[in-house]
Amino acid sequence: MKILSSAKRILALGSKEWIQIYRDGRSLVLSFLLPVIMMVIFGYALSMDVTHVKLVVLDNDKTPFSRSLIEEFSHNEYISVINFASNNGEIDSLLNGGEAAMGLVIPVEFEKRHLSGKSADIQLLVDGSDSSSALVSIGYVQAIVLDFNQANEISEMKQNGIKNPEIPVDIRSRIMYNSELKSKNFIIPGILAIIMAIISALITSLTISREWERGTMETLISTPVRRFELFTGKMIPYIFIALFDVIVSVCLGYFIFGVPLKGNFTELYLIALLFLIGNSSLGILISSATKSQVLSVQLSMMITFLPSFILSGYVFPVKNMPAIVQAFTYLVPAKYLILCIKGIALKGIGLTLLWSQILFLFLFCIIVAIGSIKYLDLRIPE
Amino acid sequence: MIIKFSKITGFIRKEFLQMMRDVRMRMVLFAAPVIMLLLFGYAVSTDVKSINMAYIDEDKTELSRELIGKFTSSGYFINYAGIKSPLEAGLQMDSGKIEVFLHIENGFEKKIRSGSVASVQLLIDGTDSSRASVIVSYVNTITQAFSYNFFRQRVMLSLSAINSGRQKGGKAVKMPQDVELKQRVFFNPDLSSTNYFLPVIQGLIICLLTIMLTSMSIVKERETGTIDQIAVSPITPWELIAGKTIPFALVSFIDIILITALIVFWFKVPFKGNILFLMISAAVFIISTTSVGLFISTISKTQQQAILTMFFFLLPSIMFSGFIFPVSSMPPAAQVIAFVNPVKYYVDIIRGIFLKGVGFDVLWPNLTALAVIGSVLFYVSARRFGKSLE
Amino acid sequence: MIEVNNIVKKFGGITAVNDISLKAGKGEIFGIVGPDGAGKSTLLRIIASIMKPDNGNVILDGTDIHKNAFTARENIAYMPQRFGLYEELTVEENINFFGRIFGMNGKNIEKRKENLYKFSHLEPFKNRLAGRLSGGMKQKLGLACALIHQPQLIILDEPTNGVDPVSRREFWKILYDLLSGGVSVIISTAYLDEAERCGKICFLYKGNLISEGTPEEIKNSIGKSLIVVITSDPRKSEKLLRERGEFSNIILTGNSLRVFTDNIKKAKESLKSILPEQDINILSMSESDATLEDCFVELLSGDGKIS
Repeated sequence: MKILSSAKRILALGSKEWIQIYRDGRSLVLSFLLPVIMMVIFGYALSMDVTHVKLVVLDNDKTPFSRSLIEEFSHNEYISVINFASNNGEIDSLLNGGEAAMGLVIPVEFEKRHLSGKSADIQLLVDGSDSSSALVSIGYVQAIVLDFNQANEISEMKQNGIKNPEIPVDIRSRIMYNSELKSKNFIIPGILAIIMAIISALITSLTISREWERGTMETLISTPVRRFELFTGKMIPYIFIALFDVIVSVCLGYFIFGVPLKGNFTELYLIALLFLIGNSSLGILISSATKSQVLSVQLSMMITFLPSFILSGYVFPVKNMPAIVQAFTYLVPAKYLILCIKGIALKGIGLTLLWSQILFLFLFCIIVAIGSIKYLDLRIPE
Repeated sequence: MIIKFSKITGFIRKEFLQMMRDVRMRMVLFAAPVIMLLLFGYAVSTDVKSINMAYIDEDKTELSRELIGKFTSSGYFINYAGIKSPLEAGLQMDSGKIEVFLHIENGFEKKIRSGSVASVQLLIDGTDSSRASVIVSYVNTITQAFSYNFFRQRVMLSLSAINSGRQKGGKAVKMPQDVELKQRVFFNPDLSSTNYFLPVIQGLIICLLTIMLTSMSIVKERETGTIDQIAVSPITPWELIAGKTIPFALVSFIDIILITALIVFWFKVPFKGNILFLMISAAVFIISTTSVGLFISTISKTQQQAILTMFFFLLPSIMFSGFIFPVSSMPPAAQVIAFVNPVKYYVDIIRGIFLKGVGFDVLWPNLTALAVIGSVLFYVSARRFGKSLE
Repeated sequence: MIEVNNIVKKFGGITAVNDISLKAGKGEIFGIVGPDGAGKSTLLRIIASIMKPDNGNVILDGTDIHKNAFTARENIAYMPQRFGLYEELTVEENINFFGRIFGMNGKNIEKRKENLYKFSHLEPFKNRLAGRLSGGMKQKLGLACALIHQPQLIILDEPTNGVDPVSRREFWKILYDLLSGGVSVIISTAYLDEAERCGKICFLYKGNLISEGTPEEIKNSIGKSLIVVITSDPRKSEKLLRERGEFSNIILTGNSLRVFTDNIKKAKESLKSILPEQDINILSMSESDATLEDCFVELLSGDGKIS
């Protein structure tokens, strides 16, 4: 009997909340469409693939040999030769201005030195600002030069009628889960998690403080409504909206962007639900604690926005961080969600391997939910 | 459009005091940015190191150990012991415990020494493609160099065999020399990703702060109705705008100085550029972001709308700023978005100043773009604001 | 039957409610009267169970409402001073919401709604957003939402503040109708003319109980009579009489002066001698019944202590 009346009150609160959302047309559109639109835009635009690295070449030698080297760069799909400089100064200014990422300098007497059996040096100037790209680009160039050397030796031998020896080591590399190293495959799942993390907390963070500021809370607390009923009733519509967004986004990622979904969608969905409950509770906790709309927004933005981005392991590996900061990352729920999404979508693993993430999410959920219910003060503040 | 200076300063003082009186507000304005910087500053690194690597050496010879040694002594790879089978390795990679698996077959050394082909199997976790690309790069460098080394030995052997067989008359075939690649890294010689990301954090924190504060404070007045009271007072819209934006802008500017000082002296990020130029750029940037906050406040009736709109601006502006995702990697249609994004220009300026040590001479287009965007937004917002008060 | 016993409430160093007790029975309207800052809202909130007192208790039909808040709230209705309903919901949606919160099922809500619409005349506006109603209609809606679950006790915090006189009269008619159903009403007001309409009232000033009883009792308790004087220059008269200090309290209303006195004859003689000295003509002098407003002012002039 008690449960029934609780349920009735929860439903009443839920439908009231829904009507309020519904009547605020712009918020409705924004909270439904926003995540989806952003997924589409980001999925389309964002990439970390290191390709078309801009290279400027300064050929001081201008001999067949130097040109044969330059040929190797022109045919490479990862590097674009954008310009031929006539002096070092030009290279410098192109690097300074960011128009080129690398400069290749071939010295005079390049061919001469090589033909005379001496070692010939070429210089690679690299813009090291973006160190990841720089490292990968340097790797490309090293590989090109190595192949060039190897090919030279083989042709030398051929010219002299010598059979060239076998290449000693056959390196069979296989890249797992994301064989073409498409950055989209980790960017998009991560973006989904981040958007979910931010929006779910942001939207709910207003809901309690708004009632206080408008004066409706005073009426509400004089009714038989219990704290957990208020909590649940308020969260329900927002969770539904968020879940809708999750489904749409996953479908978008899969059908439009070709992000694989090797694992079980239902498991993904349940984990997302767990996450959303926890995160929405966080929003409610913040707004109960601050009772001011302005502050609750600022707080929830700060707690969810940048941390989800930076501390979740999305782009910046948690391993790289000093121990104290790593400890903080344990408090960022987005981290666990991202691991789960990547695991399920790209690796095809299931709940058994993800159990520790799920456990953390569960703990997070429980702690925040209980905290926010306790904090929901159904008395006039003094 | 008469602007009375004394009235403006009076209004600004009132807003300032109101802002400072609230302890929580003070925390948000000063403590929060510093805390964020400290937290994130230590977090933003994409350096690829501590790569967990497992290996199975079925050969257990000098050469196989030499190859493995090249990995473990490189400083990038960490040995993950205890893997007994490729199946286990697959599982461990599934759960994210290892990122690289090396499998050396039986007969490795024998095949190399005898001139035939030995094979080596590598599995690399490609989930995080950025990280994986760098790992692949490291792996290739090590393995290809290893292979090439023996290739040259074989060539030398062949040549000496040939040359000794050609002793009487006939040119000796010389060993061709390699082209050697000498690399020089500009701007960030340690290739530390921290130097790349950390200075930008300054811009992000400030962007977040100014937009949030400006838009929320104005919308709050609108929601509680006090804005109607102001509308009938003798303050002109311009004065009101100044009063609402200048206090926050000032505080943000102070924050930028504070944060920059922390970045340079605490995190020891090298600063090669011109401080004055940095200050000017920061000021222009703050004007831009404040204008955005102002604009958001003119199109939002409730605080909830303001937040969602704010979010709608903030997330893309960070994504399309070049902070993490390079603008040059974006398709042209998307680059247009970056083109109108003030954050992008500030990111370029910051990186230019910190890493490259360039100044106005190189970065003037960015500064100009920032100024233009800021002024346009400010003008449009101010007009809308004025209209809304009528 | 509601008993409020020795309620004390302090905020920081200020005592907002200082040892207040009162009782209201079935079918009784109890008015809490006092100016702004007297502690009325605080007291009402405590009675409504949404604020905890530092001392004292509130017993509704034998139950301590603070110890059993949730069950007590099922029988209480509270209307705060500030409009406390959902502006983005329509009239009907608000009523439905509160009905359901109080545990009523759909059928009962429909039945009650008929009744509520009848006395509130809100039916033509049932699909209008609550935020778009006029002041008077908002108050009626507030009352309707408070009454939907047929509570035993209704607590109203200055419900007619800023409402036009016609709506005010309608509001009070509704209240009277409630009494016949045995509902207890506790209402706070700063309007003394409304206080006259209550069955029992108490005066509150700066957190203290100044007087209590039926309006008649209070008026009689003053123990003084009232003289109404109309002069040719009311303002000057007032100033003059104050300077003289002979009368403890002089109230200027419109053109007439109202003066309290123990001795009517002596007072009339005093007036006849003081005023003409300054060339003020006495146009009329009569005895009158004291209103509650007169009583209130008189009570306060005695240093706010219980007379």
